[in-house]
Order: sequence, then structure tokens, then C-alpha cells
Amino acid sequence: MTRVNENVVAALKAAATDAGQPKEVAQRLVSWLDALATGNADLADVSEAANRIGDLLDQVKLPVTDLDLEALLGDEA
Amino acid sequence: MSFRLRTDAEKWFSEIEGELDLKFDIYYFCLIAGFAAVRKSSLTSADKPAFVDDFPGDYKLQQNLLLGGLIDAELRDLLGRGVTVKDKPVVQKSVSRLLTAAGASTHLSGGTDGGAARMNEYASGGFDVLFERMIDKPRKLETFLRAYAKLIGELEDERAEAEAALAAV
Amino acid sequence: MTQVRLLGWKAAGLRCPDHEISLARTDGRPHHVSLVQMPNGTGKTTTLELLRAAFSGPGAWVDPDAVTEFAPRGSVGGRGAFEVRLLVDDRRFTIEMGLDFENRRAEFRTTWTSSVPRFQRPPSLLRVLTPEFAPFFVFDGELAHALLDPRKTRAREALEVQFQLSSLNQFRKLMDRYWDDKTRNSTTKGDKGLTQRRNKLNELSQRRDRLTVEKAELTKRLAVQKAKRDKLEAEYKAHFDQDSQAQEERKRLDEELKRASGNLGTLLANALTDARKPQNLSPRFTAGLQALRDNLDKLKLPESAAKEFFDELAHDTHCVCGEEMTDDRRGAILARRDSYLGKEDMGVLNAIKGAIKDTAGDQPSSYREAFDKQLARLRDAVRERDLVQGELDALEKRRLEGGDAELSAMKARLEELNGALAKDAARLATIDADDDSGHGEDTESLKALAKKIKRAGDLVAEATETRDIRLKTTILKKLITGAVAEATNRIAKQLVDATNARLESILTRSPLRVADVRDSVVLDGQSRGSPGQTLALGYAFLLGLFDAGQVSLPFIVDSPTGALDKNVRREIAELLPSISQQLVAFTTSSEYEQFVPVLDRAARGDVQYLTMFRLNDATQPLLAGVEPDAVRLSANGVLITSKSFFEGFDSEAYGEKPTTRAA
Repeated sequence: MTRVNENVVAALKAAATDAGQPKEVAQRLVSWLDALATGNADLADVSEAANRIGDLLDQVKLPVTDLDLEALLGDEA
Repeated sequence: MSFRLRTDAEKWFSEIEGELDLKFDIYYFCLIAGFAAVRKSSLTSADKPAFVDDFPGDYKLQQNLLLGGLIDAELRDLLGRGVTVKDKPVVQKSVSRLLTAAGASTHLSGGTDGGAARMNEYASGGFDVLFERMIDKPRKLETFLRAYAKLIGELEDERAEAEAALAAV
Repeated sequence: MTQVRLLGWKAAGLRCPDHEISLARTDGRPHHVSLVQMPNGTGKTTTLELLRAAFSGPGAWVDPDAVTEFAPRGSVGGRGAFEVRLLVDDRRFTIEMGLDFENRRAEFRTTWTSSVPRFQRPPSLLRVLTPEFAPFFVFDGELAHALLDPRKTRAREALEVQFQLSSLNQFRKLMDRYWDDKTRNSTTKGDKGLTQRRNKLNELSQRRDRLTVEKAELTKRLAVQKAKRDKLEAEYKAHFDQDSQAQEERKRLDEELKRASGNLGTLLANALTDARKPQNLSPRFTAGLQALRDNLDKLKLPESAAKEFFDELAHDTHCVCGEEMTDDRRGAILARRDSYLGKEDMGVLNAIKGAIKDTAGDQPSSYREAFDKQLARLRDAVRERDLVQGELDALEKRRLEGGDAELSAMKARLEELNGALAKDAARLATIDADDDSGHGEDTESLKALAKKIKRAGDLVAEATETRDIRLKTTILKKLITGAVAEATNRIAKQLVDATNARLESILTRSPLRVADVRDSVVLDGQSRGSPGQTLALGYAFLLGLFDAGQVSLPFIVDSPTGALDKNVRREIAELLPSISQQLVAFTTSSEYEQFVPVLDRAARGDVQYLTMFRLNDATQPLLAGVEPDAVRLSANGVLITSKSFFEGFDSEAYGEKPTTRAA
């Protein structure tokens, strides 16, 4: 049972699906929030955050086609 | 910046290039001629960029002598024949202008006034001498080597005569 | 739903008078409404800030100067103590906050299951007892207005804190930082760098493929041509040898030529190796080197002192001469420094001197003399080979001149073949060379290319990894942005419904409706509320927010009606008790009229009346008429727990000059 509000959980899951990302991405973001809510994580701890982000990035899937990549980078710019 | 060779020099040596396993050989033949005749000339933007960044092959062993030769040539250019104790600041300044320990592995300093640029100018001047004095472009290494050694000897004799004449005045 | 109630607090050694307040009824539960009346200057704002600080924990004390602002006026050093007692789901939770004015430090001790010397909150209050959230339940009358102010985003802030959306936004910043950290040492960050590197790798790989094909073709063609040449040569020789005398002569000369050419090849290779030593070519060069070395010795170069030595001198506080260091002196030292060599440059110069001594230290002409002897042997070897070749040519000529047309034709074809073979062999040698022969990136040596391709591949891999991190963090950041927007919409919708439901039960006569709460609380287009209703709306929103966070909190409000006019006060007084389960309001007597009596009725009498003021010559007489058990005295303050005293107290008359501290 997570302490993260169910709307936030649902929104993260929906956003992961929309972005074509595996559900693990949303799950990891939720567990990070949960760890913060229960005092088991601290955003000021840079190395802990780096571990969590490194783990998150491993779950992220990159678009397959160059066109999708360009769209992504274009948005960013 | 490191060693640059004039485009026309490369062309001039083209027939024996195949007999030479290092392109630097061509540069070196030019350089020693430039030292012997004390001749420098500028390269232009039409010449190719550096063809190698460090003394290659056997030449790495000769690096310190070639650096010494450059310092010697530059000091003669600045001071004439003799160096006296009062020249010490000039010597120090020249050395620190030409050499660098922290930069390139050649220990030649970069920049338009640095050691690498100066050495390239001697090689370029040396090619001018070869072009002027050798009747034909080299066709075979076996004959070129002898003719080249002979020319270096002649250039040295001419320098000695010129210096003697100057001393007599 | 976690129920949180405030039972009371205690202050000692702080800017407000020492006091202890209990909000509990005789049954141990807190009053529905507690009114604390304090004249200006008694420390009303201080007390409220202390409550907010105690609920915020150590995170609110990042500025050490803030600690000293709570010290009693005119005092130096010392300590202050503030204690808050709460009831969390019927269990006691105590927060003790010690302020060390001397060391400007705040220390916390909390008691939940046990007493610990730190700010340890019950898990259900982790998100509530924070510097970000405390202002939403310990506040002044302005907050409710701010929530409704379309120019402010207090509603969004409340939402972000309560629902961890601020943490999600923080994740995005951490991802930017992660990328910066990961790629700090990367040689390229942009996509352009990757493209360039990929192009370079492609170009090199394509050249390798092209050269590999060419090599295979060359090798094959060489084998075929060689066989053809050998066959032709054999035929030529066979034809040539039809003259048996010529045959023997040719055989002898062929062998001679082979030997002479071999000898010449060896001598030439040795001569080239020796020519690469400048001392062998030029006695003047060698003499010059030796003179240079002598001169350097004469000038004592390199010096034992290096450039770095002068740097140290120049940055000393005193000059070596003992005088104080001035800019002029420093300038002079630094000017001298520039003519000295750095430590490493000295090493280079020493290496040059050493090389001159070791490899060019003998009589300058001796090197050239030895080389000349070698060149003479080379010359002899060339002559010898030319001689044999000449004899062979002459023999051949004789045979050809004998009118053998077929032999002439064979000879011509043989020469043509040999020419083609030599060209192919030279090309193959270039491709098979061990190094780039000084051609750098343009090399046509497969071995050199392989090295360059490896290096280019490494660079591409590095740029790809860098780019992948950037792409992935970009994807994640976008995903989070989308999730925050989506979560905000979902939460807002729920909050709108909850707030409207609550408003319906509170404002039975003319209910207001809320349309949106994402940035500020926005009224439904049809609704138009009175100022009091609007205020009620702000409170209703906060309650909805607390509910969504599964926690019921007390409202601790400074001057709940503030500067509102009397009619509005009345309205708010009627609403407030129904809005919150526990209301603790700090008031002044100016707020009494049209507010307190109405509130008392609305709360069905469950209202606690507390009056607090500083004890001094002016206030001492006030104690005369009060029943003794309603008076709590401290060293510098008085707390009166009497309703009638509260009603008759004129706080304006006993207030000190207003403090300048912001609320």
C-alpha cells in the first residue's frame, strides 16, 4: 500500500503508457515518491537520487526510428 | 601545430617517396638543408596542414638533436657567431619561446612565433635550396642520397667562406 | 483519516511572555473553538510563528539569524524553549523546540512512541509537518484571500505540496543535474558532435572496405601477372638460350646481378638509416650543437632556479630584501620570472644537452667522415650493379640485333608486364604499410586505418552514450510534466467536487460553487459570493485538501476576520465552527464586536476564552476583579481564562507600540 495519492499514481501510469514506456518507469517513480513520503528517501541526497535516476534510465526505452528521435529532440529545443 | 611540408616539396620528391617509408624523411632532408644554408621561408595557406604530430619512427631518437639544432640556428640568427655571458637573457627567452614541456610531445611550442612554426620555416627554406641547387628532381634514392650529402657539404663550405670573409672585414 | 488536534503549548525564555496554554476541556478533548486575545506587542505574531516553526521542523531553520529573532528583547545569549502538544488519533505527540541564541541553533525533540532528540514525525504526518505545508494550517486571514486571488498561485502551491507534485517537479531538476554530472568530462554533448563522429567513422570504414577489396584484387592480379611474367620470362630465356653460348653468359650475369642488387639494397638501407642522424650529414650542425651545449654551460643554463621560484617570491608578503612587498617590487620580480624557464622546460633543455653529449659529442667531422665512407661503398655497389646490368643489356642487345623479331617482341611484353607488376606491388605495399607514413587521417594503410577506426568507434560510443542519457532524461522529464498536469487535473476535479459538497452543507441558503482549483480557487461563472462566503470558500478548499491527504487538521488562524467589516465578520463567525473541527484563533478586542458572540452561538458554547498580556505596572490593576482560579501568572505574563474578562478586555488600551515584524 503506497502513501502516494491514487491520482498521482494513475497519472504517472497514464503518462508512461502515453509515452510508450514500460510500466516499470511509472512504478519506479511511484516508489521514489513513496520513499519520500515515508522518510526513506531524501531529495537532498544527491548520490541516492543519482542511483534512482540511473535505475530509472535503464527502464526507459528509446524510440526506434530516427524520425521519432528527431521529434523528441525538436520538442526539447 | 606540428610538421608541415610544402606542397611543391612533396611533389618534387614524389618519385622517391615510394622508397622512403616515412614521409618525414622528405621533411628532414629539407630541414637539414635549411639549417646548413641558414635559410628560412614562409609557408602559405596553400600548403597542406600538418602531416604528422610527432617525430615518427627513428626520428624520435633524434628529437633532442633536432631541437638543439633549431635553438642553435635561431641563436645564430639573433646573435651572430659567439654567445657571451651578457647574452644570457636572450638565450633564455629564445629557449622558452621555442620549447614547451607541457604542450606537444615534440616539445616544440605552438603559435605563429613558436618552435614548430620556426622549424617548418627552416624546412621550407631548405626546400628552396634543394630546388635551386639540384639539377633535377630525385629519381632514385641511391643517387639522391649521395648527391644530397654532397650538396650539404657544399652549403657548409659556402657558409664557412662567408663567415671567414665577414670576420676578415 | 488521521485526526490531529492541538492540545496546547508552552513558551519560556522567548520574545513573547512566558506562558502555557491548554486548549483541553475537562474531558481531555480540545474545545471546538479557542480564542486567544492578545494586545499588540504581547507576542501574538511571535507565538504564531513559533507554532508554525514547531510544525515545520528543522527544515525551516536554514537561516541561523532567524533563531535570534525569537530571543527576548535586550537579552544576550541564553536559551528559549517552546513545546507543542498534539493529539494524533487519540495518542499524544509532543514537539519540543529549543532555541540556542548563543550558537544560533534550533534543536528538536519529539515524543511519539518514545522520546528522541530529533524531529521524528508519526508517518501519517510526514507530508503535513513540513515547512512547505505548515503555512496552510497555521495562517492569517490573508491566506484565504490569497487562495482566491487569480494573480497568485497559492492553491497550486498547496496542491503541489500535499500531493507530492513538487517532488515530481524536483525529480526533473535532479535529472538535469544527473545529466550534467554524467557528461561533465564528455568531449561532446550535442547531437552535432555525434553526427560528425558517425560520419568520420563511416568515412573511415568505407575506405577500409574499399581498400580491402582493392587489396584482394591487387593480390589476385599480382599472382596472375607474376605467373604470366614468370612464364613469359622462362619462354624468353628459353628462346634466348637457343644460343647456348648466350645462355651460359646470361645465367652468369643474372646471378651476378642478383648478388650486386642485394648488396646495393643492404647498403642503401643502412645509408638511409644513417642519413637520418643529422650529425652524419652535417659537421657544422654537429659543431653548432656542441657550441650550443658549451654556451649553455657557460651561461649556467638551465638555471638551478625555476620560474616557479619567482612566483613564490612575488606572492610573499615581504620581499627577499626584507622590505614590504609593493606592487612595483612584485612587478619587477614577475618581469624577471618571464626570462626563466619553468621546471619542466628545464628538463627539456637538460635532455637536449645530454643528447648532444651522448650522440654528437665526438669530433664533429668524424661522423660525416664515417658516413662518407658508407656513401662511397654505396657508390661502388651502384657501379657494380650498373656494370653487370650493362653487360646483360649488351648481351641482350646483341641477341636482339641478331634479327630475332620474336625475341624483341617478347622482351617488350616482358618489360610492360614488369612495369605493371611494379606499380601494383607499390600500391599493395602502401595498403600493407605498418603505419600511416605521415598521411594522418588520409592514410591508405589498412593497419593504420584499423587503429583509427577503433578510436573513431570509441568516440562514437561515447557520444552515443551521452546522447542516450540526454534522450532518456528528456523522455522522463516530458513524462513527468505530463503526469503532473494529468494528476493536477484529476486532483482538482476531486477537490472541486469535495469543496462544492462542503459548501452546500455550510452555505445552505445561497450555496457557492467552485469551478477550478488548479492555480487559484475560481468560482463558478454563475456564483457570486459575499466577502464572508468567499472566505468560507477558501477554508472549505483547505479542508478538502486536508481530507484528500487523509488528515484532519486544526485551523490556527491569526485575526480570522482581519479588516473585514462588521457584517462580514458576523457571517464568518456563523460559518467558521461548521467548517473546521478545531479552530484556534488569535484575536484582538477590535475583532470582538459582531464576531465573538455570533461565533459562541454557532459553536454551541464550546468556546474557550483566553486573554494574555504582559505583566507590568499598567496591567497589574486589571487582576484585582478576576476570580483567582482564572489567573495563571508567569514571570512576565498573565493568562486569564475567564469569558467575562475576555469580553470586557480592551486590548488596544494595553497594547504596546505595534511591532514592525511582518505577520
